[in-house]
Amino acid sequence: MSALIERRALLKASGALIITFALEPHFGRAAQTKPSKPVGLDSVDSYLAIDSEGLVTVYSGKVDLGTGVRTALTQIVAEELDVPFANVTLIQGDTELTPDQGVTYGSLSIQNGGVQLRQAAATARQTLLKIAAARMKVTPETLTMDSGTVIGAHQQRLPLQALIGNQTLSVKMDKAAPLKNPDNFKLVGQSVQRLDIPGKVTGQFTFMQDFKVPGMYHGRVVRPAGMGAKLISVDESSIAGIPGIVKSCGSRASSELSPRPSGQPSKPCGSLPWSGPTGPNCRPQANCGSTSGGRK
Amino acid sequence: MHGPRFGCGLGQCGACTVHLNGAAIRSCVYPLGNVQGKVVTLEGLGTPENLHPLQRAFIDEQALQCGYCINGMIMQAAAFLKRIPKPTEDQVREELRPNLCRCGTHIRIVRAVMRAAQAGAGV
Repeated sequence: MSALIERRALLKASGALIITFALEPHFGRAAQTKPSKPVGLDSVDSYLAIDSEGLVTVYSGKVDLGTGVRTALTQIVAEELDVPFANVTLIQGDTELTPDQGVTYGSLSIQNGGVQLRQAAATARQTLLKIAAARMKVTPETLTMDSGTVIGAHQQRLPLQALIGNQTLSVKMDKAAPLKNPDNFKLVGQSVQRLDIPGKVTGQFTFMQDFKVPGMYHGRVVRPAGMGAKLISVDESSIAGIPGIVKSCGSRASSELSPRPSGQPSKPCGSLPWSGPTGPNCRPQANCGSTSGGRK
Repeated sequence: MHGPRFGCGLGQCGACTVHLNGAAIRSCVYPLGNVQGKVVTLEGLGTPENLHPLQRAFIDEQALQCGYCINGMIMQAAAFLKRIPKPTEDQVREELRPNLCRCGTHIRIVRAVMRAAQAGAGV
């Protein structure tokens, strides 16, 4: 769980947003003992924070299951906020920190999750431009943004962190906040190097399968001998002798559940006999471990 | 240790590949009692600060999507290039045929191995 500890350290270190919300009583059970943050879908602070160095932390409820959305979502926010790509850190799927953007499937991470992050960044951008305009005593329309800095008509420059100081943005998501014209994109549409690849080719990357939590169980899907078979009955006593076995469960299929170290193969599932029909599709399965769905 | 991956557990996918005395073996089915000598994992091949030419090449070619198979691809290729430092593309394909990748980055993987060979990974 070292990844989680690093996140906590990051959270503590990421200044403004966290401190402001530390004493909000309704943000979770640990609000009184450690910093907390909003995670509601309607608040910009749920999605992103700008720290005292101008570095941006993005909180995404969509996770990266190997498709590369970590890199893409980072691009989307960096683009919309006009900050350097390297200044954006993405935290994904930590339910204490990230908004619930729904499950990660069906190619929805960009078209749903990315769109939400983009709107959050656009709302932040709009808010920051208003603050800067008031500071410079001009209208927001006269301002531009580049590399984490708001630039006035006479080349006055204000870095983003100077605009929020020790505060958070504290604004609701604004669906009408204007989005950047794609014609002006500098980063989205460019082919950037994937953020996760260096860690994956050097054995530093923490895959989902590496996570261990207290009381974690390992299940195994036990498949029938052939396609089209239906489960008629399960002889529970047939698996009772497996060391560490907890129980079998499931109505359409049965699983062995036993607390064993991750990576250690389960006992061959042939020990849990199926009572199934015989027929043209039912062939004896020499080695049921060859199915890929048995481990999670 | 995050390098060798548990994939099929049957020696069929290659995700678990490590080097035993320089040879690529499938660690998931290799009996521990038979291990005598030096074992090297992906972590031992190179580090982020001091990349092995194959690791460098896989980054340069962006040769993975989820990356679960990539430990095996790199470890198999590293042992292979020690034997055949300047392979043909067909030889690379043949060598990596028993390593499975479901994402479908095979073309980039072959390209990465060829790039590493040119960079002298096997020498």
